[in-house]
Amino acid sequence: MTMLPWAGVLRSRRGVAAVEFAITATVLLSILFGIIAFASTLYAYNMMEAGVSEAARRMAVAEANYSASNITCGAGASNTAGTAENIACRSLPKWGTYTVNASLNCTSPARDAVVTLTANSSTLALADMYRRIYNTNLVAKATYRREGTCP
Amino acid sequence: MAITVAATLPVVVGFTALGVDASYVYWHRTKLQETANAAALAGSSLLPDSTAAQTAAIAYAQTNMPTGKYGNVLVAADAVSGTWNPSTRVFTSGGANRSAMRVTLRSSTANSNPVRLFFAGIFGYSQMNITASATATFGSYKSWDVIIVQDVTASFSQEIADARTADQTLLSCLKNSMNATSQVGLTTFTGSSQTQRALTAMDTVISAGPPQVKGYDALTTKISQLDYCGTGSPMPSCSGTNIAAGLNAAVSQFTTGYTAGTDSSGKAIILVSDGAPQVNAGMGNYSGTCPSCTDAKLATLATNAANAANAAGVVVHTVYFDRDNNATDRAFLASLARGTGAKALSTPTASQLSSLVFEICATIPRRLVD
Repeated sequence: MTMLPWAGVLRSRRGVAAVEFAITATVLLSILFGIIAFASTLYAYNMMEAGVSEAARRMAVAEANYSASNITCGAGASNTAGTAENIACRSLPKWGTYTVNASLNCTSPARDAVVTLTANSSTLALADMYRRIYNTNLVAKATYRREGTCP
Repeated sequence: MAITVAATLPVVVGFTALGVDASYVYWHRTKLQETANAAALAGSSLLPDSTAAQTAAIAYAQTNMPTGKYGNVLVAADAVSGTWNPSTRVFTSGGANRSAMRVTLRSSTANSNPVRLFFAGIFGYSQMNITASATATFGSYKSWDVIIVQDVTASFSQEIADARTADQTLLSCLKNSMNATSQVGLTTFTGSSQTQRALTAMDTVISAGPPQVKGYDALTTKISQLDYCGTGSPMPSCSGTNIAAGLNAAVSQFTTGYTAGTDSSGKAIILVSDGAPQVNAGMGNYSGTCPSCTDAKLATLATNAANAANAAGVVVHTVYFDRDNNATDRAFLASLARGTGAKALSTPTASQLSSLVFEICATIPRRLVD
C-alpha cells in the first residue's frame, strides 16, 4: 500500500504542545496585556483626578499661581514649580502626555478655581479606545471655591 | 495544555474582572472624596450663613460630579452645618454661630446612584454603595493677635451681658481656630481707658495653680467680670465716650514691646461700642489730649487713633450696637474700620452682638478637619 506523502505528518503527534501553546497563548497574553493596559490607564486617570483636585485646592487658597494658557505636561515636559499646572502634573505617570488648563472664574457670584487635565489619547493605552467609544478624551476636572479675595 | 488552560481560564477571567471592578470602585471613591473636600470647603466658606453654605456645598458637589453622569451625590440632608470641637474632634450639627460644615457624599442606593460594576454582576453583585465624608471649619495654623476694645459707658448698662457673650464668642472662636500662640487682650473705655487684660498668648501660663491659669482662662474671667461703669466696679468711671482713648491704649500694645505670635497672620482691634464720641464735663481736657473738648474734637481724635492703628498694621473692625437706629453714629463707627478685610458691622438688637462678632472670626481661612 502506497501511503500519501503527508499522511505521516497528519498522524504525527510531535509538536502538539507547541501548537496548543500558540493558540492558548493568544488568549492568555491578550488577557495579560489587557490587564496591564487597563491598569496603567486607570492609574494615570486616578493620578489625574488627584492632581487636578490638589491644584484647584491650592489655587482656591491663593497658594498657587497659574498661567492662563493650556500647557502640555508629562513625559518630561516641565513647567514652573509651584504653579497650579505643576501641582496638577507632578505625579502623573511619565508614559503619557497631558494638557493642563487652570483658570480662575471671578465673575460674581462665581469664584471658582478650575483645573482641567486632558490625557493625550495616543499616549495612554486604553485612552484611545475610550475616546472611540465615548467620543471624548479622558478628562479630569476639579472646581474649588476661591477663598478670600477673588482678583 | 489546552485542558489546563480551559480549566484555569474562568479563574483568570474572574480575577481580571475583580481587578477591573475593584480599581473602578477605587477610582470612584477617590473622585467622591475629592468632591466631598471641595463641597465641604466651599460650603464652610459661606458660614455662618447656614443656608448659603448648604446651597454652595451642593452646587460644588454637582459641579465636580455632574448629576447627568453621577446622579445626585449630595442631598440637602447630607450637607449639614454646625460646630467642630477641635479637642474632642466631634462635629455637632445645628446651633448658633456655625463654624463647621460636614458633607456626606453618596454613590449608593439611598441616592439612587450606586456604582455600577462591570463584571461582578456574574457573581450577583451588580452594584456597590460607597460614601465619602468631609468636614471643614475655620482654621489656621497661624496666629492672630487681637485686642477687644469694649465700650462700658453707662448706656451699655442694660446690654453688658450681651457684650460679655459677644466677647466670649470671639475668644472661643479664636481658641478653636488659630494656633495657641495667638495673643488676646481686653481694653475697656468710657471717657478714659483701662486695660483689663494686656495682650497675652492664649497658652501662656499665668498662674501655675492648681488650678493652672493660662492667658485664655484669664481673659475669660475678665470678660465674665465686664460691667458698665457706674457700679463701683473695676471699670473706668462713667465720663462720656472717648473711643480714641480705647483705641490708643490698644494700639500702644501693638507698637511698644510687641512680639507677634508664631507664624503671625496679622493683628486686629475689635471695637465694640454703642455710640459716637461724647464729651463729659467731668473729664476736663481729657488729660491734655482734648483742650476745650467737643464731641467733634473727640470724633477727630478717634479717627486719628484708627489711622494710627492702620499705620501700625493693625486692622480695626467695628461692631456697633445701634440701639436708636442712629444713621449718623452708625456711619461714624463704620468710618473707623480700617485695613484689608476690615468689617464694619452694626445691629439694633444687643443679643445679635455675638453673631456680629462671630462674622469677624469668620474671616479666618477654612481647612478640612475630618
